[in-house]
Amino acid sequence: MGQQASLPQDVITFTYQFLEAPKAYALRAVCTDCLYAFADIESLELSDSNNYVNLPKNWAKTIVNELTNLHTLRIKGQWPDIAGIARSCPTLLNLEIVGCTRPGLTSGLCTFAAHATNLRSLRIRSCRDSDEGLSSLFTNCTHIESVSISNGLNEMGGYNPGRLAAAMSSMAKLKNLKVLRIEKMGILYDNALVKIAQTCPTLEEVDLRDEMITAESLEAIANHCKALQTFSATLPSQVDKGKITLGMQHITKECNQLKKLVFAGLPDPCLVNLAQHCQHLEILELTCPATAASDAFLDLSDNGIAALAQGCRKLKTFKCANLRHIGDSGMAGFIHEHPNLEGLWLGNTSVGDETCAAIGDTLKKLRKLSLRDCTEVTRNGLQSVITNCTAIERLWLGGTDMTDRLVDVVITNCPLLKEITVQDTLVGKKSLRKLADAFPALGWAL
Amino acid sequence: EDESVKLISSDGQDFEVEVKVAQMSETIRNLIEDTGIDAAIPLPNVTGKILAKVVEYCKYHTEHPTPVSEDKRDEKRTDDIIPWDQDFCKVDQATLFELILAANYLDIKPLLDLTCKTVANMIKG
Repeated sequence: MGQQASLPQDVITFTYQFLEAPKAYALRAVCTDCLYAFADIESLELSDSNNYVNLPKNWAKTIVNELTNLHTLRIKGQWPDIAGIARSCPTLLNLEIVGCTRPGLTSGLCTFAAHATNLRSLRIRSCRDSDEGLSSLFTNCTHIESVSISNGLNEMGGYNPGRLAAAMSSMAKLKNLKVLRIEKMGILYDNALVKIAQTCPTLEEVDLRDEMITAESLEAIANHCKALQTFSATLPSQVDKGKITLGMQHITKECNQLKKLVFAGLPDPCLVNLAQHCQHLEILELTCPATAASDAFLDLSDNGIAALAQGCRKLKTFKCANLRHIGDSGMAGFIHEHPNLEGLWLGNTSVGDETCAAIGDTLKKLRKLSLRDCTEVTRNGLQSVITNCTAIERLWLGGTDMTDRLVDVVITNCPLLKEITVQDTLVGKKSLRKLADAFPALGWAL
Repeated sequence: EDESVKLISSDGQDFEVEVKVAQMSETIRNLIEDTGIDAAIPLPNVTGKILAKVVEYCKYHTEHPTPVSEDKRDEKRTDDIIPWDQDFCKVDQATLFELILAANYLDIKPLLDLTCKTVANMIKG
């Protein structure tokens, strides 16, 4: 046997990324090549779902201490000594902490604030609140460009406006902030968002879904964040709808660089503004919650959809589901003017065969289509879509007039199909078997 | 469209390969951009036995492109190797290591991913 080739160090380092931390810890002890390669690891995940019983105490700290080039650290679960790990991460750029509800989180975050001053991105998900910890991070790590905080667990339960007051206020110190995502935290922002918008004109992405946005913060964003490319927000249930609509009108007029906008039931005047001012828009999501009252989003109507036909020619993805009062009169014209659409979600609306004909005529690039529960669409409408949209990959047709014969048409005309749903239709088991035979890669419940 | 290029292994074996197949290798792609496809490309770091396997891999994956997952978290998965790739890697350890070296030298990312994932799975046991 000849001499076995040894692997280059960078390849061993590359292989480490596929191993969980305990295995990586074991591998590094095998030989010096592995040890040196280990030290070069840039990304590490510590997850308390692994079996750590047989490992020496403080092994996590030992590992992190040896990593001279660690850029990305993800800590999942109830780690007992985050502060100990935090002391050894001076090169850290990206930090993610998920599912930690221990009190030690605060001292952990404060320690990161003291040592990982080059931090660029922070993601905190499903952790206990830590106003002091977060505030410390935002004050000391001024290079942070991306902040994502979601699913906060408030021990006090219910609504507590002052929970992250210091943290939100300190966020205004991040002069390079580009991405701000806050989801399901239930915080009342008062003026914090206004200050952030004023001091961070570099903001490119703002995602405040399920948060209590205020009209003042929308105005501040419209006035100061001209570089905004992505904006997602939800209409809060107990506020002055008129003022929020006005704020959104200003955003859709002033933030001309918008590429993605998510806002359930965005009122018509905003759609008019989008068509006139936001020609870079590629993704527009107006889908409303399925449980919403039928009169909750009447400010978005066929007129607004018709107005959209006048602009936003770069639109690739359009979602407008769960709006039963939206029908063909605006939609067909909108579709005719947007041949670049690749994804279209119109589930649970009143669009019918006229819209389907427009889809079949115009959308040659369509890859994803949902007509779920569109009861106005007949077999003719489905036929025009299936026959003409040959690039389709995902079709959601549950609750429609779909039939066995139309399944045959799908099999003949849609060679790229990856996913199809036909629950609550007349399609029978035999057709489902035919689909499985024709497209082996398909997966759905029979 | 059906143009081909000649690759020469370290032990002098010739391989006539379609250009679009050969260009799965970034190293070869760059060489072709600089010097064209008329001259044969010597690959002194890859034996004929291994180059044959590499060409087999590139041919299959050019004909059957696998869509890349949109989820970044899937990059670290090792349980999603397609059956053809699994069979491809059923070789002795020495060959597997040589394939890794070749994928690294020729800069064929999907092959490097596959072979390193296979090694990772062997370590996981």
